[in-house]
Amino acid sequence: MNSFLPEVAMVTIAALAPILAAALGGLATEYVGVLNIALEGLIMAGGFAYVAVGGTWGPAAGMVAAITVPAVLALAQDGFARKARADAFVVGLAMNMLIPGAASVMSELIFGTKGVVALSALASGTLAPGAVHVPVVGPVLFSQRWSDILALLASAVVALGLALTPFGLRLRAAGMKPESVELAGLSPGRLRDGAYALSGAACGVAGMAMAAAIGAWVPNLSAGRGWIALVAIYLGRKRLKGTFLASLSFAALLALATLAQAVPSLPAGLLGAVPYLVTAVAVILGSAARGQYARKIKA
Amino acid sequence: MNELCALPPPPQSRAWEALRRLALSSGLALVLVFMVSVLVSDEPLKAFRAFSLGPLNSARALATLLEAAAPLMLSATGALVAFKAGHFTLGGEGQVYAGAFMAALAGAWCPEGSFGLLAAVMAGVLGGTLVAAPAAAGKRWAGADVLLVTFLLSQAALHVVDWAISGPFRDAGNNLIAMDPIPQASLLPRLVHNLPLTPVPLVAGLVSVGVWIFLSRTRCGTMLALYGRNSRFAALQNFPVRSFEWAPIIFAGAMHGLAGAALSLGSNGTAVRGISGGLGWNAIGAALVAGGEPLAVVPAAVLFSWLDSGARQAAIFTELPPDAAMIIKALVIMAATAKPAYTRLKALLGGRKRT
Repeated sequence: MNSFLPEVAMVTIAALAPILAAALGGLATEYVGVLNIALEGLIMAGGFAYVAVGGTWGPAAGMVAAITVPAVLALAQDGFARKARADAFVVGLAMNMLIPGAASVMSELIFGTKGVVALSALASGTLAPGAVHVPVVGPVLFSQRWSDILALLASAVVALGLALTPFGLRLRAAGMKPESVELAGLSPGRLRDGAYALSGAACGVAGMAMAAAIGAWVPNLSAGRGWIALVAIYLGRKRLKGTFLASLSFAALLALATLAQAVPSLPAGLLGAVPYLVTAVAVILGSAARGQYARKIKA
Repeated sequence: MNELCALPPPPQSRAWEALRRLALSSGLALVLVFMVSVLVSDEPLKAFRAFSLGPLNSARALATLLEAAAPLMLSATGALVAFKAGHFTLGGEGQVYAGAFMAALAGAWCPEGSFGLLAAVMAGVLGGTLVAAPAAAGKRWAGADVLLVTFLLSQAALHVVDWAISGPFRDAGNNLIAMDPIPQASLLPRLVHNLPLTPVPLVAGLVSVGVWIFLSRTRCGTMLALYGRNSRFAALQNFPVRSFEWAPIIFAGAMHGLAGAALSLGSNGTAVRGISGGLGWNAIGAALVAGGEPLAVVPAAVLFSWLDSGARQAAIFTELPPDAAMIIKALVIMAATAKPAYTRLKALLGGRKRT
């Protein structure tokens, strides 16, 4: 029991890092009024860019690629949707199909396989292995991978940027009333571009964290984290605090399901379904409660 | 006369419009296949020929293409009805998987023959419906977001069915991770001797015609489409909005389940791990390319199936990666929703000037 809670906290933080980064990136686009549905694909793009570039030029170059490639892809996605007057939602769905396909083809061209590409040099080390034995804080904080800490730091930067900077304020204004932004001499289109690029970069960091955690590129690397991030945005009612709490709750559920898999009497395969079922029930019950509250106010 | 000339041209039927959109999508797909062949393959012409003509060069290849397209037609028709009602369901993948699992279970356990086949089909439909039901109930009684709940339930279903197929229901004597084989007499019958063609493409075609008649020729279908466009207006007109809140989601689940049953009861002969293979996601793509027109779902599904089959053929004869089909499908979906390019090409093909 003494080691259980720190272990849960440790695994929760590791699970939270990619989900939170992607969710806050997605929230930036929600602020401008067009939720980027392609978070799943962009995470994958970040992970693949990290391994493909990092495999040749080292982890630092991989990290730069992991941030820039998805940012450019997200920018192109938004540019296409706006210039071609295409449905942003449909373009996002197509991106989620395009990126895994492109990653698979490129993996075959670069590494000669569309399967797992393991590069141990790209695996992330822990933050401070020597300090792991410090009571409570040691296992929770210092045994985290640096890539996860980096993703959390990136999330903090995005959150602060959205909450406290003029850029965040302008994004919200562009989402609520684009004319007001135009009157202020700013371009709503540029702001939307900025939000999309930010979402791509944040997803890229999430993808890098996931690839560095295992030191490899695996097909379907994102494993639904982009969709979970979208769920967190919705569950958090499209607000910063709410998105953070929803991401944390989902990460805790995933951590519990992961740790429970170590119990031999529990069916490991079934446990993977639990976080999704619990969240689905939470969404339905939450909607019911909101409906009742709205009816009460009306009455 | 001049005033008459100044009037906008009469609107064309949506079916014709959708078919024209599909022709453009197919043309674009061919161009993309050529480009991918040139970019990726050392033998671009051989790769292009294998990709584009491989799935069409024999009766067997054509039958295989149609057979592969049929579950996609069923799934896409279900997704389209849900979209028409304004419910963006993302749960197709899990619903197809659940349908395949339930059909294999019933097919293996029920008495062999027609009864076994019918029971397996019904079980497949039930499987997909069961996964969709909580989302439909959540929408009906709590106003829960359909997109979120269908996705979450689908992910849960994928885990549960994966566990069931690779665990308690696994056929220990099979090298594949698969369930017990369904007896031959309970599998879908072949329409033509020596060809892998079952009645599923015919059924899928009839379903899409039925849905087209329902949506465009019946009062209830028209009300459903209007509800999808403006639910407030529908409520003010006393349309049965309560039913429209859940019924299209259940129908989509049932269609996905039926598609899953077709996978298990066809050439697979049982449910194999990962049998859905992205069918639920492809169905969304096919429904979008069909532009909301049920009749256009059939050629859209055939187009997607042709791309998949062509990529596999090209991979056999050249070094073109089979996942190239995913890239092309994604680009076709994007292009199908792009308005300026489509409008310009439409004007070019229709010989009319844009106003």
